[in-house]
Amino acid sequence: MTRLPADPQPIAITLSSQCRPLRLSWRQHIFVIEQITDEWRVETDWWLTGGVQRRHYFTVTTVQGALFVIYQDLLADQWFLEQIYD
Amino acid sequence: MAYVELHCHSYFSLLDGVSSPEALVEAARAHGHTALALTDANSLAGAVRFWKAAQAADVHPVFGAEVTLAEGASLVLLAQNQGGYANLCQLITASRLDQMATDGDGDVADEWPGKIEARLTWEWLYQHADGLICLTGGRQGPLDAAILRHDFAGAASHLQRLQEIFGPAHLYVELQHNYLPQTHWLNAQLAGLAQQFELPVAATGNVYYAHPEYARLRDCVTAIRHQQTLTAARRAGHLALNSSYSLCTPPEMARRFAPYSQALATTVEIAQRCRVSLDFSQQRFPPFVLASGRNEFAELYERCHTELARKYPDLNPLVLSRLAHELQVIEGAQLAGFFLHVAHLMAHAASQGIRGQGRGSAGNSIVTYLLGITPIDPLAHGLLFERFLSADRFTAPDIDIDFDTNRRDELIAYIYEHFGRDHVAMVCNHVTYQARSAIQDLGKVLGLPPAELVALSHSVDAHSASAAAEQLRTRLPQDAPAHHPLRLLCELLPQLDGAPRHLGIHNGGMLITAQPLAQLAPLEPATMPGRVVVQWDKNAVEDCGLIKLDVLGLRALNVITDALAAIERSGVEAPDLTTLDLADAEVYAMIARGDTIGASQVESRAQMGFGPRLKPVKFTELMMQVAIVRPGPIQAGSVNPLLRRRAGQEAVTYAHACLEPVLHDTYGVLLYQEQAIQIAMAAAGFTAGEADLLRRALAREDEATIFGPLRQRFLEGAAKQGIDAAEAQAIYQQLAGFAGYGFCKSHAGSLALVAYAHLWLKRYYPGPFYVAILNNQPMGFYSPEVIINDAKRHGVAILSPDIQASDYAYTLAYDAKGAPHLRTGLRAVKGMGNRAWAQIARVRQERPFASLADLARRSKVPPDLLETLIMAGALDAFGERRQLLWQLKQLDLRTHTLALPAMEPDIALPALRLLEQVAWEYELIGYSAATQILALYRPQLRQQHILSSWEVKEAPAGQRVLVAGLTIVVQRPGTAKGVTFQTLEDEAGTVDLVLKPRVYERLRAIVRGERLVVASGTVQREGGAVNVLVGYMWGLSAISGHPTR
Repeated sequence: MTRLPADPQPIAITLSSQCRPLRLSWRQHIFVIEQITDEWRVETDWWLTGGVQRRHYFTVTTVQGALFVIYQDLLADQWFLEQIYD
Repeated sequence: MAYVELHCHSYFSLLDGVSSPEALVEAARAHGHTALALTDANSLAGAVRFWKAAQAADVHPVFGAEVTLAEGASLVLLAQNQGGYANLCQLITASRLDQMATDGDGDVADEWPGKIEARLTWEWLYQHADGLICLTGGRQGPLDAAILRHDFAGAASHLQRLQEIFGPAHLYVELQHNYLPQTHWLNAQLAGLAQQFELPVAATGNVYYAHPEYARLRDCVTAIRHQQTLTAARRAGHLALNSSYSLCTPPEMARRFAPYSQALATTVEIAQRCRVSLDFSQQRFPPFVLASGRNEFAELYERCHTELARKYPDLNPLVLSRLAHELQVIEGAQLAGFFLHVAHLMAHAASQGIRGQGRGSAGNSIVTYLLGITPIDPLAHGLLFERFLSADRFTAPDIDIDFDTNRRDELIAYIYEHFGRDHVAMVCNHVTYQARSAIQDLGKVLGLPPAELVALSHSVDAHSASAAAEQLRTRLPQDAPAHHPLRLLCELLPQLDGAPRHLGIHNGGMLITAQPLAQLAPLEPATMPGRVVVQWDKNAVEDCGLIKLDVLGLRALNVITDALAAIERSGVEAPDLTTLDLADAEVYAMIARGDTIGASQVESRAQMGFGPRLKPVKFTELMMQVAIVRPGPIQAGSVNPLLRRRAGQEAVTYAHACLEPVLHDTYGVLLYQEQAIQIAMAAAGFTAGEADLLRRALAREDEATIFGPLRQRFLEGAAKQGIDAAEAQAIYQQLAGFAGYGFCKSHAGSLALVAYAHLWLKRYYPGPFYVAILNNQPMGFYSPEVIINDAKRHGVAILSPDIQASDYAYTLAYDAKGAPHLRTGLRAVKGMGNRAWAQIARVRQERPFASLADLARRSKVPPDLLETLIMAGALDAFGERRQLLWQLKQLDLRTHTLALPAMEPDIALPALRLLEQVAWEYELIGYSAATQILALYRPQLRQQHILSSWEVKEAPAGQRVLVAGLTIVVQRPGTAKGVTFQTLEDEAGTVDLVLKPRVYERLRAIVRGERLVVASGTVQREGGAVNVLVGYMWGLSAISGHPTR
């Protein structure tokens, strides 16, 4: 089932020495990342009011069998969960 | 993990890449890359700059390109060796030229497509793959595209085909990682396919800029390319998703390609396999074919010595030793064939009656003089060969030849035919972003309103985009937010500075090579029909050892040709201007009284003011005048010392006695580039080559070189010559101060020769001279109105246009007493084009026109043009103008009707007043043949004590005067510290006004807005020059009322 949180949910991430996500923590649950299946970066329209957004997205699968779309806000250095497929 | 970037675009991927080749090389060096490939889209335009920068930075250069295939996908091709490089050039050339339809002879058919998108056929790839390494092109390539649409069979088929073309040792499956969705999956598929075909994989960064901070500029140029705002371009999906297209460090690439470390190692191996040099000095020019089979140098030697007796009847050892020296240098540089080719072109031009003469530094050579390439005797004018060529340091000889503008194309066509189309192309000109173009293009994509953009453009007077940004910053509100369009514009402008906008065509630079040109550099069609340009500009051509030949058009030469033809037509034998005595006192007297309107080089307001101060009496002084009245010497303050010293009002001094022989002729003032070379040789013992290096550094204002090693070398050399340190410093200071403005003396000589010929013709053959000047308009400094009135003052009667008597061009006739009459051609009448003239000429040949109705019916000229002709006075033979206009309205101009007389009876209309008539003529021809307009106001002007220009010139210095005239020139030169110069003309001549900045600001609306003005001011005299220092100015109508006639 796909869940789309209304707003991106803040999450805590544990990174590897290569700065790759290893584990994510959301609503007091810890998910161990099995594989990063895709990643991409998005930068928004820098010339418009509101300023630029820079995000690094990851699609990850977890040992629990879920698939998460998470991203790192590269400007604020914070992590968010955007979609869950479980 | 070592890594070399093999897929990298510079800003020569026009409006796609944004960094210069130099910036990319510098970034590669800083990141520790040992090599770098430059792979611009269907272009090697940046290759030579890349090669030079890479050599300087000790980065191994790999030459390549991203070629676009017929279906729109692209591949990266890298040149492994010289053969591969030649193939790459041919493929890029074919990607455009092969699309052009050709006729049976292989020439391009009628429709010239101009600039076209590159599209390369697979057939060409099959035929020209040798020596090339192919990368599959990443997301733009055919392989990735097939995989992304899950067409795995298609992907395999593409790879199979590429393997057939390039072979397994020259084909690499390209992996990219620019943080786009599906990259992990795509690369896994590509790696699997590579394994299946037993092919290696290679990682690339698909670079478009040296540093991430240029990502915004790439968005902008992408939007410019698509002619959209940034917002629209984003919506259309044209902009990159992120900014990960910069040149990366090896660790960053290792992170991106962690599962494919071999793909990184492969890049280093590929780079090591690629070895190409762009030194083409052996391909300079085709050999000069001699029927006898003798060698080129022997032929050159013989031709020069044969000509010696004619040009130097009193042969002396100095001439012989100079010739021997030059021939030795030419032989050493293996340039004999080049000189013979140029001489051949000059001879061909002469045989076709095309006037031509060499200009520039080539005039410093006795060989070019003897071969008839240049007109100036270098020994008679102390011209230094080393400015042209030197034995100890090869620089490409620069031969620029001016030809009659109207016939230059004939010569260009001959060059193509003579050398073969495969060996000839025009050199390109990279049109780069400057202040206004950058503001316009960036402003548009940022969404600034057009009116605001125009205002912004006009508010800057800077030349470079960087300097414009500085000026615009002052208009930026302090609290402007980060995304404020003006702030963004100011941030982006410096990044765009100097980036190429599009590829243009050089004025006249032609590249002619021994090897087919398309094997040395890519060619592409220019916008101009029939013209093919090489992707290299003149600097690139020179830097890789090739020689271009400048085939230029000079209208001033047309004037001479046309004037001589007019003399011939009058039944008099035309004079031979090549044997003119250059010491005619009458000619110099004209300069001394500022009577130089129409004469090339010496007619400008500044020149007309300088001549009476200098009062030259010999040709070397005319050369000096041509060279010194230019912004550089004016800004450097050289003009007044030269005038004072020549007049004996100031002692001539030299920083050291050794400079006296060099600077004697210019009164101690350093004026010519040749003098800079001679000073370095005399004072510091420089070789000619070293001295020329210094001269070039001075010309480029290259401060690092001027104040670096060359300065040290100069001071040490001067010490060895026994010059003490302080004097040596002073001499060097003089040289450094000379930076940028030196003029090539031989060039001054060529220009002065044309100026002299013009003045001589004006003095002795005014009719032919003025008819030639008028038929070559637009040219020079003045409008036809000024030329016409000057002609009248020189005894040439001016006749109005006449439908029965005028040709299209101006024509010359003589009355019974031999006085010249210049008939205004119908081309002078507004709206009269070639087509209408052809209609008129055809039917007039049958019989003269009997009336307006006859003209209208037979010529079928449209009524509005007939009306113009009536108002301009061209139909005065048929009646009074107002009456003719009435008749015109009554004419039944329908075809196939009986030629019945007008039904309406003629009515009595009042005749035009003279002022109305003259006003119509000024509006429709630009002047009145009958009278200068001020003559109509003269009675009222007299009553109000307003003087004529002639009276002002007679007035003593300090006298307050009122003078009226028609404004013919307004100038505000950058060198004049805000002073504005205005020239007025009346029926007696011209008068120069000077407006100081505050006065100009007060009177700007009148100066710029009124054509007929009255100025009040004080007479100033300096030497023979007279000016009026203006205090106030009015529009003429405000002060004089209406003229009575």
